[in-house]
Amino acid sequence: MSTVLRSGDRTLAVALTPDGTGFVATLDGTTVRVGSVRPGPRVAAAGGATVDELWVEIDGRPCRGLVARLRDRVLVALDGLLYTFETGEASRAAGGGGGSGLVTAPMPGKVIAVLVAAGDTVEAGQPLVLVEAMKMETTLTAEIAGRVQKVAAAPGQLVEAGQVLVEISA
Amino acid sequence: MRTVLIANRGEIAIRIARACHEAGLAAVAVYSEADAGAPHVLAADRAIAIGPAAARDSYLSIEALLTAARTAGADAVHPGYGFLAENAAFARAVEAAGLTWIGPPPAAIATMGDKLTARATVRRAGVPVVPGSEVALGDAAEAARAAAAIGYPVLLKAAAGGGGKGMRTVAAEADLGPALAAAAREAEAAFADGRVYLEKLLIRPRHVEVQVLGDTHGTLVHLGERECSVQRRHQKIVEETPCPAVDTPLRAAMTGAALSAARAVGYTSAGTVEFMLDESGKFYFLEMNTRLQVEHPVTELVTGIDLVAAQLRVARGEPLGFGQADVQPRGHAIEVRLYAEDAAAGFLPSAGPILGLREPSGPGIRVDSALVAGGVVPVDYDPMLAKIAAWGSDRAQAVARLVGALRETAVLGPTTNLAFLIDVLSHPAFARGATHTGFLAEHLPRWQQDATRVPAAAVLAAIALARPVAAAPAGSAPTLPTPWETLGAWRLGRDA
Repeated sequence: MSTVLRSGDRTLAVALTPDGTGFVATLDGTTVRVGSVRPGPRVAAAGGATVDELWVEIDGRPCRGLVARLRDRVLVALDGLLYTFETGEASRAAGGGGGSGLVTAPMPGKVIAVLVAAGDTVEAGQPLVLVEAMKMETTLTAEIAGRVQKVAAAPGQLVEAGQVLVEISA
Repeated sequence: MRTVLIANRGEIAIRIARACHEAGLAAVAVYSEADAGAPHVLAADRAIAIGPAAARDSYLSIEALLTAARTAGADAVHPGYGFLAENAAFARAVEAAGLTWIGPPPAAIATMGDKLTARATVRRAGVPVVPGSEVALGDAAEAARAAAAIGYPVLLKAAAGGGGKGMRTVAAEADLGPALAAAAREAEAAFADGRVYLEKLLIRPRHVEVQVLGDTHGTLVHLGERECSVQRRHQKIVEETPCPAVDTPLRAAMTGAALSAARAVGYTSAGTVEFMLDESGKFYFLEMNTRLQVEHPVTELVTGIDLVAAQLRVARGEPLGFGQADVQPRGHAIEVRLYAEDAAAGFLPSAGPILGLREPSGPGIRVDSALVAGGVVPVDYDPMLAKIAAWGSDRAQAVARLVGALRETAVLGPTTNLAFLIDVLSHPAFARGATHTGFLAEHLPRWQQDATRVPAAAVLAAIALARPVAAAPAGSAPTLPTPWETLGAWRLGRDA
């Protein structure tokens, strides 16, 4: 999946490709290995924001970040510094991305429920799979509208971060 | 004394409530409409609403505070710092209401509160003041004689002064006449009082202050000095003890002068005598703060003496219980003030909800905080969020511990000065202890946050965005989870 973030007058396109227990991130033409992604607790905060604690390795260096996701901004606290990125529709359009048909587990966890089957027609935003991790349930939704080509998840199944659970073709 | 009303808010109200509880006293918090449910309210045994958000109608309202004290059955008042802490009229009103004032005698507050009276009082007690003429200057010729006597450069100040208005730096006699006229005009416009006086301008001075503590039985001790030179907008942001520039003979001289100043006004309780220290090692009285100081934790860390506990004992009429020889500072302590402000944009204050929070811990770390995730930094008050202090066996260890603690700290929500503080503490000139009141202007002008790790932060942002948002009922206002959401799976009337 690809995300466009703006920091001041700087625009960063970040593409995450699942790779083992982590991701390969490409960012401004450089490739960064993101390993050992371990999402910590997520809490709901004021104004509809969610706050994630994330433990990851970026190019082998352990990072403990606190990330607040707001409607049009993401705040990242890392090693005492605070970074603000703007997101939103404008950024997405600038990135040229229309969402991915690959629905992946965002973290290691357990599949609680699968809500679609191969051959189903789905709309963008439609819930597909419920995954539980760190005692929290999250709903994976379709990024694009289309037909479900394959479902690779079953209730009770343990999944790794980045593992493809559903494939949708537009 | 059984019940203490804390006439303050934020971290200092929490710190005082803790001291009350340790001493077996009940603590009563007060709060404005902006502070309902604030951490300082929850730290007390009882809380009384005292009015609207505007401080003049709540935390600065003597009437509202005394009414709250009566309502709660409080028999003593601790003012903290700021607000009414140095208001002699408040101290007198507390005593007139038959309550115990946890602070110095009101007369001492009044004397030290007037700059010219304070200067004259301590000078009579043999305390050095910045050389200058204390009377308003009649004409340019008189000013020239006074300036020549103390030597250029000199500083012209409004007698009624404050806020830099009517202030002029004069480098040589040729500039004196025009500067004097301009300063008098400006002072007249700002204060309806054109009197101007003249002081020797100190070059790259340090701000060094001495903590004093006295009881009502004649014991008055000092607890060493604090160096507080790193300031922005004339407000301290880094404080440490001991001062790297103070050696044993200078310490003896400065602490002796501080005790003389305190004695001159019959001081009891905790107070601070502030000095300017010039590059040649000469020091001059600046003012006395007749209250607990924001930076008191660093003194507590090196002396092991709890200043608020001592204030409570003194207010009860008890002796301090120790003398000067018992005060044996150990190691080094540094504190920073975490402010909700944008250091890259003229220290513009910030406010709003605290979305996420991580406070530091570790050997020698002390956090005096009023921060809570889910809380709000109101726009109505001083934007200081917390004080983070580190103790080390020497200065280098204290600095290293504090930098480590700040890197562990995270505040998501309002912009804070955290990154700026890390850069101040990491600056080579700070490592050398070469601080002075112009430190930030000299070493960190036009500061911007380091951008080296923007890519790493962007990757974290992308990962968080990739993590799906759990479905929430449309239109629901996300707040703290209710017990029903956090209880987990259970069934009524059946064994788990």
